[in-house]
Amino acid sequence: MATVSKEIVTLSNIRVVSRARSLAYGIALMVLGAIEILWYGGASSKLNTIVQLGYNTATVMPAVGAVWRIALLLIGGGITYLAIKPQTLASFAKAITTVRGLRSVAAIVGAYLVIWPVLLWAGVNHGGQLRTFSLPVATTGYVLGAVSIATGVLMAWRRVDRSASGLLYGGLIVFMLGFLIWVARGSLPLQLTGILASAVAVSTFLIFGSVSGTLCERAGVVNIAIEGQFMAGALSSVVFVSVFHGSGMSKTLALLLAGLFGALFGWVLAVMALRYQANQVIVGVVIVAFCTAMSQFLMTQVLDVHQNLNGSFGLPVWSVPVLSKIPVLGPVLFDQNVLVFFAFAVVIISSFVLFRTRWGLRVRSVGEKPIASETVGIDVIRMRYSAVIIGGFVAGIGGAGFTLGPGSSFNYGMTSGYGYIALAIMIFGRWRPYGALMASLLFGFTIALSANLNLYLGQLVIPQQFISALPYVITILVVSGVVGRIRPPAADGVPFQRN
Amino acid sequence: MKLELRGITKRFGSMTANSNVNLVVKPGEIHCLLGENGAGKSTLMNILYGMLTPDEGQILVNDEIVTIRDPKDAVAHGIGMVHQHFMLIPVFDVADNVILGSEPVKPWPVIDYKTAIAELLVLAEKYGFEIDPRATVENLPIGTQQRVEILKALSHDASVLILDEPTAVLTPQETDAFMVILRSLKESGKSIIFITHKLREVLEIADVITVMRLGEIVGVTTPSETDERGLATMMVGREVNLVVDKNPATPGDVVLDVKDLFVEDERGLTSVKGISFEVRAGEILAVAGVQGNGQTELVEALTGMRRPSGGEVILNNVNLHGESVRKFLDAGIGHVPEDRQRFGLVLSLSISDNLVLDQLDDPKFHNRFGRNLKAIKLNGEQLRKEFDIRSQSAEEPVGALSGGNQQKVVMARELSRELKILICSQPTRGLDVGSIEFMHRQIVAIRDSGVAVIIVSSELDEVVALGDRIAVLFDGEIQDIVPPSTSREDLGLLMAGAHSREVSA
Amino acid sequence: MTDTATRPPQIGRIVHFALRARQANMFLVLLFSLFIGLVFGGFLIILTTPALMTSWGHFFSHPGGTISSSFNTIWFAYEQLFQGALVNFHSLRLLIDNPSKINLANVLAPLSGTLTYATPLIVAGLGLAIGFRSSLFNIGGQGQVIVGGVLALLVSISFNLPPFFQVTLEIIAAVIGGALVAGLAGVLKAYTGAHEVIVTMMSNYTMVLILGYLLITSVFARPGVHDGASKAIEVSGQLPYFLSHLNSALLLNFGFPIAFVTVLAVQWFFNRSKTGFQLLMVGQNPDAARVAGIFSRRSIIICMALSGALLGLAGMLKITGVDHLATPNFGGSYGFDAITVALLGRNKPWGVFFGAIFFGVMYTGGAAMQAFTPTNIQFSLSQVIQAVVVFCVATPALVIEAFRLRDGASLISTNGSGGWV
Repeated sequence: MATVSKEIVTLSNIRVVSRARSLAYGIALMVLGAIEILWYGGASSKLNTIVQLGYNTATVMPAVGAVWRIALLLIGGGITYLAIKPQTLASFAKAITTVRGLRSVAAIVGAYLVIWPVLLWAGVNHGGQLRTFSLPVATTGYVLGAVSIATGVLMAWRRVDRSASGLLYGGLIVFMLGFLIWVARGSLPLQLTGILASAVAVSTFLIFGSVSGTLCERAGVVNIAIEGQFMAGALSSVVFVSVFHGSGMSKTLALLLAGLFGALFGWVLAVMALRYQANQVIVGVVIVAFCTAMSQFLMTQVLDVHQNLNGSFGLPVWSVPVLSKIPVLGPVLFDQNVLVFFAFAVVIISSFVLFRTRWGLRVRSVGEKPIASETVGIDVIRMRYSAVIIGGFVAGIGGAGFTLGPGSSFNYGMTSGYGYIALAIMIFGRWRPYGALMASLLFGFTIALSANLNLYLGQLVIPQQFISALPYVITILVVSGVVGRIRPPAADGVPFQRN
Repeated sequence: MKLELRGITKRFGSMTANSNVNLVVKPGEIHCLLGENGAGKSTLMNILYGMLTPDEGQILVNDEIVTIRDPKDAVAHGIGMVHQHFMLIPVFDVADNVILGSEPVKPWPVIDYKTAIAELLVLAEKYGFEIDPRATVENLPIGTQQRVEILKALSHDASVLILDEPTAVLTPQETDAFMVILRSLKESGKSIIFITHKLREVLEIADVITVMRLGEIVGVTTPSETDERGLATMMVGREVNLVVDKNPATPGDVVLDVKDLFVEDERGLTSVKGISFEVRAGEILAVAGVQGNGQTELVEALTGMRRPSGGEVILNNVNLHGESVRKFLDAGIGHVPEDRQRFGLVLSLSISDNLVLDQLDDPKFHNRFGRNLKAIKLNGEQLRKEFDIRSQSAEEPVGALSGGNQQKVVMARELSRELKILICSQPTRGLDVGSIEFMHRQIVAIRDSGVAVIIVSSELDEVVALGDRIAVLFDGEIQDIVPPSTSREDLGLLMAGAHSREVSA
Repeated sequence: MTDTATRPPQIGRIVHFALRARQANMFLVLLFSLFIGLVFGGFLIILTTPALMTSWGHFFSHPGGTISSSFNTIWFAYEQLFQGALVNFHSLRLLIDNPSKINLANVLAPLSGTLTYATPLIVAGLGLAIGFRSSLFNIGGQGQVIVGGVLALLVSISFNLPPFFQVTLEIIAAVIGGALVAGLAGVLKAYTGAHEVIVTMMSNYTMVLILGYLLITSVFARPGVHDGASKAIEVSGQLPYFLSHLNSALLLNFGFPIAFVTVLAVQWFFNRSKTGFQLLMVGQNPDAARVAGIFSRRSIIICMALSGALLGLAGMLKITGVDHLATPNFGGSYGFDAITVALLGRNKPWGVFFGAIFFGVMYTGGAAMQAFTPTNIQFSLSQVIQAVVVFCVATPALVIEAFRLRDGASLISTNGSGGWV
């Protein structure tokens, strides 16, 4: 007999629904396209938008000779072709892991070598200035609108079974691009690279938070306390660094301390949820309430009096040699503060640990069907403890991203609900670290975008608040299953009791 | 490996699930453990596998006493178990499921899938399994999933394999293939404890047969010494435990008419395959059968809980197909569900509240201030007395009651409505003798008042005692509808899948 | 410890009573939670007061002085908290010596402040309790309070009816607004399986932003002023004060009786109404509810809508009774405070009522504590104590184990959240 939740969402009706949904998405994309054509296309034909792909003249790579460029283009094309041609795929299909990994690395490197010379040309120092393009708003609107409509038609017609398809994302990105170009019309250049770079920076704590959520929920414990762990990490790290006046070593230790404080609250959650079997959502909410009150108290009682304990110390920015000079991608990915690199590392490590190691397999098993794990001699409760505590550690480090990341002092409102958004991101990323990374970047982009659109306030028809609301509205759409069937770990949030 | 159980006793509260059970399994033998549902077979095996701790008794491996505290210990002693409900993780692939808990690692925390898969394939080949180590388990057919379970046990070097009702979930074809596997396991020297209640399989495969009833061992025999009839007699018991005083039925008009009913289960498999029958006012139709032959789905379809994939459910000439549960209830269907704690009661609420759960719309229980608490309380006290529900008052939470009294609450609630037909699923499962008798008297009384009754039960005694007609369900089909005077042995054979013709022959 | 036989009989009786009192019940759990909260707060006071820390540094040279000075500091802070929130002993003495209007007003002042603060919180907490009883977590209190408040404001700006009708219309608008916002989350939960925690949480942020936008539109903004505050509610749309004839500083208004009536209404709803009973069933055992013919989707939507309706009403009470205008921060932390109030009150209407008053006490008392303690112990200490108390109440198993209470099993519910999607 089905339980309530099964009655509402079953696998079979999801399959039916997703086909219907595909039709709906198609129609929605067509409508978006029509809006683009009518609205942006209707803009005065004389208006232009200046797009600037370069970002910072200091990081621009010196010009490379034409011969080199062409050579790189050819080499890159060759590698890509070799890596992705069907024969290669067929011959490697039976082999496992290493060879397959090499192949995808080769494909990425090759593709990058192809794009590189193009980007180099687009963003390069051009006669002492960053190269800019001038796009006519009206024409762009027509073209992008047509692309959106075409995508929509394709989607509605083919009725793709997997509704979270590339077509949908492609169509939406095209629409977004059209919108940006329309908004940024006029003399102020649209700094695409700048937006992307700040998007990555903003994503940092979202990545930590959503990976933390992923680790906990893979083990079957809902960690809604991420917001509280953020606060604990942010506060403890800034105080620690301030005590040592921002010396280099103290920053490293501060990150560790932030992680330990996050782990502490992870442990509290684990004790309440696993030992005392309290409702996990309630415990999470209460932990957040405690952390909020506590950080407010420490802020007003201690830090406001001893302001030297709440200094502004940033983590060092690390420009990766050579890579950071790459146009567009360089400043976006390889010229960030250390924590951004840590975030990427956390994603890679946690994904590897979850899906390749003994601990990961066991954690996933207790999150799916703890009784089955127990029959093969796995200590369910201990696995859950370890996952929740490690998850808390990751979230705590993410908390340091609020203070040490941008180098600001602690303020008790500064986490502003990102801990909860991280949970939505975790769902969006389908309980996978790489998914969490991609979804965090997407959210980071909308956050950076809404901040950047302030520059063009006069030209916005839509109130700026509505743009800021975008991440939240997207989250609602995500959890409503707009991205298709998302299956959480089966035992997520279900207490386990030994007989 | 020689395995011995000595004097195992296990009690759950007042119920004794196993009482002084002795069992010896010799190396390389297929040992069948036969018994009805609730005979204590699974309890015994869960004790052996360390999922439960016995209150008394010892386990001996190769004549040495061992302590088995958890499954880990059992595995260490070479005991493997394939549970009735598979202990597989549906979203994992075959390899992950098999290595879980004893993963080969190289270098340390990284799982060495290359070795794992190679070992898995060697093992599979040894026993003639064809298996893709990288297939996701939930996409595999049930028979294959079972092989994964067996592989999992074998990969832990099990020399005794416990198979808990392994054929209950298999199709006939899969069962045949399974028998082949059992033989090859036996040939390689493994001991097998095979739990079942299907007589034919036992005779086909067993070396030794141990029969259990009501938590005790009632006999040890071999296939050459006995036949289906003999086993059925042992399994069911010679004497009739329960006698229900009832007059012959006086059937009236057809109340419920089920035509060509097809029902699918959660996995989308058809588990009720074109059943047709009718029930008349004032008669009891007992649906007998081994559990898992479509009873659950049939009851769900008859009570509106599950939408049939085909056919008609006609109550008093009204077709209820596809209507809501509310409509089914309003049409006069009373439902005593299989799992009373999960589906029949809200344990935290009081007895009186539980007695009106599905009668919230009844004007009797309303006044101008809303729910008439006085009337509900009065109703509660009245029914509590009438049905002899043992509690301090009707305001106690239902969760505090014993199983028998909880079932009385459910029964009292349903009988207090205006019913056309009462559908009871396993009405006396897990109850003490006194409660069983009380339940039976109530059911006969409601029949005599002119209500149609359907009893679904896997207890043969109950079916024979209550039924005016007995429909035997096997594999989603009605084998036959027979009078209660049919011999137990013949009923047992029908339940085991034999057709009427064979039985009477 | 002395031998039992040598004890005077009274002590034996007390011990016996104390042992019997260790029988776990909710009252004891609350009491011990409060105790834990106050002890925790005491430690924080010691740790953050430099003078005390210095004296603890020399603990071994004069331990008595250290302990007594610490105790005095803590005691004084809590005394201020108590007097600032409930009764000021000094003004009470004045009133007894000289019963005058102004002295009466002074005695009532702390309580008036507490109850004024608690009023919207009572209603909001009740809204949450409705959801919790059906195992639904409406985290969107903040957003729904905003919607209720804004719609009440809109009514006040758009119409000019006699006071009674004006207020009634405000209530209706706020209730409908809150119900729609939360009901949407219910619809999403029922039909797509979207977890209400995430949906309502996100609706909070969205509503805060929409409020920010509305406050700069010509409908709400005061012409020519850019301080972010909206037009004020006209007197005809305000909830009247009922102690203002004593002293115009007594802000207790007719919102309190409305909240009181709401408590009774919810009490009725839980105990006597058919829908309330159905919601309880669905929350406690959805499978049994289904067997009994209850349509769980509809129950989910109704439950969320009712919960939102009360939160909308809370917003209305706040704007028409307390604030009289909207600021970008109008929603405050109402959503979360309401959750904790509902937890504290164990989802019982009267429990919520007193839980909200406890919050009011901590709020007004916390302010008094900050103002009157020599070292300015900050207001937020009261919030910390409050959080610790709620933490303990939310996990009674912890308290029961820590104080070795007996037979606590009935107080511990082990229902999981049941995952996300």
